Amino acid sequence: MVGNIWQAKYTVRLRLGQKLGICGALKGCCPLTRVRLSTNRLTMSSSPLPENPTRNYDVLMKTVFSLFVIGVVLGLIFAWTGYSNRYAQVTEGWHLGQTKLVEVTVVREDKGRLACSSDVSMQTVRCGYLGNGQPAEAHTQEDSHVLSPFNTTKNELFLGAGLWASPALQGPLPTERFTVACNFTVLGVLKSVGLRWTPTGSFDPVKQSVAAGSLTDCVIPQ
Amino acid sequence: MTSFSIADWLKDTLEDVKMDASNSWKSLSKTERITTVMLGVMLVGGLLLRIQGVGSPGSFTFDEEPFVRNAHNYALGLPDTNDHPPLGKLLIGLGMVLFGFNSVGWRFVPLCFALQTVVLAYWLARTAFQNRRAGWMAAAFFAADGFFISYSRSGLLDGMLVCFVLWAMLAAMTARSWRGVLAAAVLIGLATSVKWSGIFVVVPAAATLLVHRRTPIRSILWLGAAPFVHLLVWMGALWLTGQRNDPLTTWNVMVGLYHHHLDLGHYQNGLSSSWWGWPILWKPIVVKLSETGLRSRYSSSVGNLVFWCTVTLSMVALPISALVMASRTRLKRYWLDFFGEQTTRTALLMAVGWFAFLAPWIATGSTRGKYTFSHYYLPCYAFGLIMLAGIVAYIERKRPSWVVDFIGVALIVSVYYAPVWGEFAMRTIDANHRLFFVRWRP
Repeated sequence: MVGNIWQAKYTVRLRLGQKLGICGALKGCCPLTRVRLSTNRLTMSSSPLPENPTRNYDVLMKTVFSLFVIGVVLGLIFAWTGYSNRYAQVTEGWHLGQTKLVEVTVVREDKGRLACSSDVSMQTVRCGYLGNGQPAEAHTQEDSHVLSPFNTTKNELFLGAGLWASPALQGPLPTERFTVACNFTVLGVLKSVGLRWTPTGSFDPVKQSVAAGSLTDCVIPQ
Repeated sequence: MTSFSIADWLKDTLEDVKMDASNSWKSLSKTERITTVMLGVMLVGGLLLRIQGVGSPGSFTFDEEPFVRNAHNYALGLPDTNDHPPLGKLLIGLGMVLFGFNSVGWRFVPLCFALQTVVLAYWLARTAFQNRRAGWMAAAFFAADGFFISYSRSGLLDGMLVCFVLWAMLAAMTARSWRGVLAAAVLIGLATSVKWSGIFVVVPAAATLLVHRRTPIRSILWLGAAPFVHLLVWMGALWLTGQRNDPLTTWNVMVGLYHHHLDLGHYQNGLSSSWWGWPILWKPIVVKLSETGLRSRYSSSVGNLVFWCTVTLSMVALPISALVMASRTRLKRYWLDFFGEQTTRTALLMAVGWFAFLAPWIATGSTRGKYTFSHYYLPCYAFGLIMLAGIVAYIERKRPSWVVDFIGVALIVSVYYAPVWGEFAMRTIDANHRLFFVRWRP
């Protein structure tokens, strides 16, 4: 009975508070307070409110807050441990003039398949085809100067020249797919380059900038 | 939000945890305590599984590239050329602002939202079923399921979509005035701004408001604010990239994208699968795959088979049972004696959510039939797991031994599948033992 009287009073107070728009100031119209008070009253009377009710008022705010906490805590952990540095995008560390070890997986037929097209030449290397898809001048077809597209085993796209001219690949090549490790010297970056992955295929333009350079000291890891 | 109220909420939350840990523990039977420990293992294990090695591999996997590149475009002020609304990519971009253009950067925000989804599962189940135990079970079920784990570890939109969907449902469930309904509408708008399919949550949200009747009936009209929130988000994204962002131009951009989506049915994709295959795990996707020497790392979207089967069977059985029950008074009495009205009503609401997210793909089968993917089922499954948690928590009161067996088997399955969910380096043969159907393998 006491609970019911209190509830009636509370309802009046709640409606008044809502009408005046002073819910924030008038703590009585906050459902959180309602639940707490009514829970207390439950010990004295039989209230129609459910047993152990969820405090609906602040559930949404708690979830918002939890996302903030998750973000901050996880961010701090990642920042403190330098976690992101370990996964810095692999090509991010490629600098002009730098030589780095790359590992590519190829089949021997790739020698005639892979090609790129661009009008740009840099130092001693260039694509085997011009931007319009026509073969470049004869003397640039010498293999150690002709760029071909490759993907490293870490899925980094680059243009390299000299893979097939390297001594390690002069003998009989494996019939299956094999991996070659080389030193790749970055000579420049090509934009608007077309790539071909099959001998009869067309040159598909790539949207990203691609590092281009020479491949040396290639070995087939045993 | 004042510092006082934040402290108050923190205090409340800590009190909740403390109460669960001490008072509740004492009141539990031995069987229930075993269940609690197993739920704890699922929860902690699931969270660790999400976080560990999330940056691996350092390259794009599955559909990450279009999302990440367009997220990067926002930072560069370039147009977003992706075929989904902008919010998800803006959020991914936030992670890259913090950690740079690397795999941790683009997976950070989706991971935060994935962890948040576990929290939301707790609150939604607890609020919906008025049962704290249901909340813990839902959180544990979400945590220990590979479908959610795999999308937690990728820079994709679907995990964030589910988070906003659950948030919107929670807002609808806790609404006590038009303000609550408006909050739900804003969250529905945000869900829609991640992926258009987010709008489907309006169906279970409206059903919740109508069934519970805790708000004036007319307040449901506030849900109509969701499209405006979506429009505002899109206008903001266009403004960020220096494009025209008046409402008419924005509308035209959206219409153009809509036509593009209609056209997608003509495309073929080896990973696509029809809607009927999703509830039976016909063709789950290996979301991440990388190689490390002779071993591979998998993050498969195969769910926990125990939960998956139970959810699917429940979704078939529940509506049929409800129909039979509605027509047979005697059956209704037996049913309500066992499950209770509250549990039945809330379970049916969750089933509405499940159907709401599946029905559009059934309806548009003729246009998008060739270009739908298993991750479209993720929101459906979220509703299914909440429903399952509520039912299991209710059954536990009457038959705790059934539940301990159920949770035990689910935990064993989770432990067995953890390596192919959390990208542990493993031999192909070991992975194939888990992904035993050829269709499940990459």
